[in-house]
Amino acid sequence: MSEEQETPQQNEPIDLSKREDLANEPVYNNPGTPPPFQPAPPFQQFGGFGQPNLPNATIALILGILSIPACCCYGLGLIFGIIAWVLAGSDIKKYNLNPNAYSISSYKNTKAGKVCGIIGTILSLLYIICLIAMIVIFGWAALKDPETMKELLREKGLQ
Amino acid sequence: MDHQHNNFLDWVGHHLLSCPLKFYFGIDCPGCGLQRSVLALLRGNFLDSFKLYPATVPLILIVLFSIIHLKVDFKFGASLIKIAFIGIASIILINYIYKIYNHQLI
Repeated sequence: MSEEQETPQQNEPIDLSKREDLANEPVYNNPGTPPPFQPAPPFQQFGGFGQPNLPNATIALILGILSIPACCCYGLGLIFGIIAWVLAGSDIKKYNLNPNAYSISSYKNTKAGKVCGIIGTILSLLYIICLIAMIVIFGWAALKDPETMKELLREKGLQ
Repeated sequence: MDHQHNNFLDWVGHHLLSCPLKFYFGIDCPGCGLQRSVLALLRGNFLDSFKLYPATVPLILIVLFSIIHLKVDFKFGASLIKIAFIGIASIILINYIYKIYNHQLI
């Protein structure tokens, strides 16, 4: 392995038949074969016994799911969604740096948490943008007073 | 016992958390109706619950499923949660747009 790393251009095909020291070894610099130091354990697909979960996988998933029901409670959904998004993002980076150190199921959970967090964040942002747009269109005073609001809406032919 | 139960639900119905948008401006937000819908569901009234907020039942199901998934760890769980979540988000958006077009906001 160290001999291969010393060659200046790794992308160029090396004529292995001329190198006698590598003649009896399997070809590792072929792009199709996995690197020799990372053999896939046979039980990894069942959740990886002995592999720890990613630290924030569960929290990210739960916060991501809660971000929709909380979407309209004083912007809580926005906070939940962003926290889930950030936690999941950092965990995904951690997993990509070292894929064999963590279980694959927790990686899937983290990805799901990230998607849920993004959706919750978008919904909450829409809600807040709606709120700001209404204040801009109708004015603060009209929004404070439901009666004025109804009259305004009637004038605009909305109701 | 049943009578008491109903009384409790009535009491909760009068003490719901008020949405700030509804409270200050009198306009529904995309999440308005969720608590009333859950109460209707507790009373066993599926149809009312659906009319008040169509996403309640899927939301409860997805929360239950994700709790079970975190315990049992299904193989397909994470992707199912993702797809269901996207579905719920679109239900909420469609419901809100429907409300706007039918002047049910106030």
